[in-house]
Amino acid sequence: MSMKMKVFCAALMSVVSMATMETGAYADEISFKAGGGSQMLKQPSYDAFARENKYAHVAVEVGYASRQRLSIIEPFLLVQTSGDPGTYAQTFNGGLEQDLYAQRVMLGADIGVMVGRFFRPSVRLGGGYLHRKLEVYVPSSSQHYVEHTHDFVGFGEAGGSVIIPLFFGTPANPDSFGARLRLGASAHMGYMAQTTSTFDELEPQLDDETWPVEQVDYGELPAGGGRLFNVGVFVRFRL
Amino acid sequence: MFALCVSGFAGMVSTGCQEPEYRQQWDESYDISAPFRAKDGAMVYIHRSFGQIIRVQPAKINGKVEILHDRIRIDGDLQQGLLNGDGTALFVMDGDKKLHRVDLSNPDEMSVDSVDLASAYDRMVLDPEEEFLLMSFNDSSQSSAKIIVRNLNEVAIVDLRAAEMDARFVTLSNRALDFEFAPSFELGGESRRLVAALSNSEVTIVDLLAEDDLNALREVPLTLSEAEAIKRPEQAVFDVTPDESLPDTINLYVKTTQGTDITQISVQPSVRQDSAYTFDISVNQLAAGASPGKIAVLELPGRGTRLLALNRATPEFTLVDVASGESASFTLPMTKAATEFLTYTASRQAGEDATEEIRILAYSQDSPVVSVIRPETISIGGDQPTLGRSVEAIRLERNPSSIDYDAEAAANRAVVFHGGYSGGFTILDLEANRDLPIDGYSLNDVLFDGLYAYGTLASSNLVAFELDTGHPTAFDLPYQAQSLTLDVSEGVLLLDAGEPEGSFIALDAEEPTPENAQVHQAIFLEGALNFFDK
Repeated sequence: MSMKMKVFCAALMSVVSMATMETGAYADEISFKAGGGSQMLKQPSYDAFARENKYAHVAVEVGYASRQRLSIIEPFLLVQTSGDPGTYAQTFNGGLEQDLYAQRVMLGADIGVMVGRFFRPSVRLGGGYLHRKLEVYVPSSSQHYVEHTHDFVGFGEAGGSVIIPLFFGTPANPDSFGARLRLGASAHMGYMAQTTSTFDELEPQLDDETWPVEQVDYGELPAGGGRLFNVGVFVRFRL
Repeated sequence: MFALCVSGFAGMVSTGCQEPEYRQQWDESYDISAPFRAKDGAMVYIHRSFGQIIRVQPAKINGKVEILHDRIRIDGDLQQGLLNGDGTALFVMDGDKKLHRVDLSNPDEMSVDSVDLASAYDRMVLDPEEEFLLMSFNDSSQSSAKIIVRNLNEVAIVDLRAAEMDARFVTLSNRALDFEFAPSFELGGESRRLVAALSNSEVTIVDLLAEDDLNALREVPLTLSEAEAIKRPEQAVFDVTPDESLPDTINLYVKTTQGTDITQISVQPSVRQDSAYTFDISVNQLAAGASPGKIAVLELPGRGTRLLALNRATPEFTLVDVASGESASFTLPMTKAATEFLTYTASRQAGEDATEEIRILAYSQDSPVVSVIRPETISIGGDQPTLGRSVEAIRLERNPSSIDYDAEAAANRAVVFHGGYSGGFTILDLEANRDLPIDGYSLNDVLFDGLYAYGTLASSNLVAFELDTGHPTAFDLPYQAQSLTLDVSEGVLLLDAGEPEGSFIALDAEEPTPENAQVHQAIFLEGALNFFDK
């Protein structure tokens, strides 16, 4: 874990320094994005959770853009969450229910140029922290088992955004709130990969805590990843 | 991080073309066997969903109670299992026409050896002397496997005498419904192993050591003509104890569902010089009351060999003198017909001398009265024996659901299970013919350990009771347990909660408190995520 933490900190520092260097005093647009997407995970271990191997997520993202210097790079902070509480993936004809939740907190860079007035093709690269929660429920014994893992995740994707101003033409007051807003939608496809999640300390959730209880080695979800697809809508606000 | 992304893209390119198939095993029903009680308090399970044999053992390491578990993977379509007498080997049938023998003698590691079979059999019977194992097909196939074609009369004879298992296959002229092994005996100066294959209206005597086909299978019809109603053998008992009047003769007693007779099949060495057969077989019918139920062969000192048959319709039993064929029926002091019995030996104080006496405890799930029969005191030709002398009654608080007898201990005690959640249990003192009713929750399982017995209750409790006084002490458990075993040398109890994920509690037998315990849940699910990876 400590090795993973070091790599993560170094990556974080490089993104932060890049963002500050490039925007400087001229930073003038902040964007808020809400969206969703999916990651295909086809390693056999994931068959325990879903037949389709497609893991949907919802995401929120905050980005920052400089229009003066190095405007092609826009750094962003991205939070994604996947897993639907309350719906367990049933295996063994309902004999065993397993659910996998994931939260990802990532920093990244959206690299692209404006083509024409409204279209911005871009490549997005990012990485960060992955939290996973495995919950196992055995209906016949009414027993719950839970474990959390902490890993790294990274992605790369290509696609584009359509950005349109809220008011076309020249606004009467260029500094009014409405005139500062631009709206947009984006779609990207790529690949997301994560390090191995080891579930070797699965905890039974017993009511009685006087008994010494052993943890369960439930196996691991191996390192690797799958195809990524993201869409989102956003507003960009000129500062 | 960028390196991670680049590797991600590389991964996309390399894995993009592969479409691994969904592991269908996750969609099948979850299937794990009931525990097999192996040696040293270990419990062994056949995990059919994961194709594993899982062993869970109680242990004490540096004075601390532990639960050890190990597993061995057998790729195949695992079916039923059968444990040998001392719990050192588990035989597991495989739907892929195989028989596996799992060696449990090494507490650190299990090992498996297999033999190929001609068919996927669904029934196996182990020789009590563990030299042979026979396999056949059930009467009505309960296996969910799709059957394409099979020979129902085929029987596999697996020879276990050598280090490596060896199987040969014979076809009987009728489907074998069950097998009864004769204990090893000497006939005509030679050691013999016989087994009776029970079929509808027929018994086949299989000579396991015969080398020629003529002698290997000897068919004995139970009906005179094919037109007669089918007689289905229900129970067969061998008697190989040498009889003074008929040395060199062994007998097989067969009881069928139809008719009032018990068929006596006598096997003798062939005396005629020109006979191709090694054995001469003769059949005799013994009258055994109106409708005989379960039977037992009793060797009574001073009275010879006698058959005891419970009557299946009325509370009566019949004793048959095998030598003369004479029989007499006697009433049991019960209101319902006895369906089950257990045989034990009681020591009887007659003046200064203690003598051993064979007794039968007969009971029915429908009657609160259990009967103790003392067959040695019954004379068949004489008057009906008086109640209280030859047949005694013990009235229980409730109807028994089953009776568990402690065959190992010197003291003759049995524990009566009662049905329901709070039926309690009863300790039977079989020397004094008295009962100690224990009020409380019903027993799930019981285990005898000399002076004490341990039981799991239908509540979240363990009970330890002194067999002499019946005094019970209850201990708390984190949840309800079903089966229990004991590692006698370490004094550690192992309790299985009977849950599909495999939840176990190990306890110090002397002080079964949480401080001297270990709980390990979901043992059967260990490595579940990666189980179908390959």
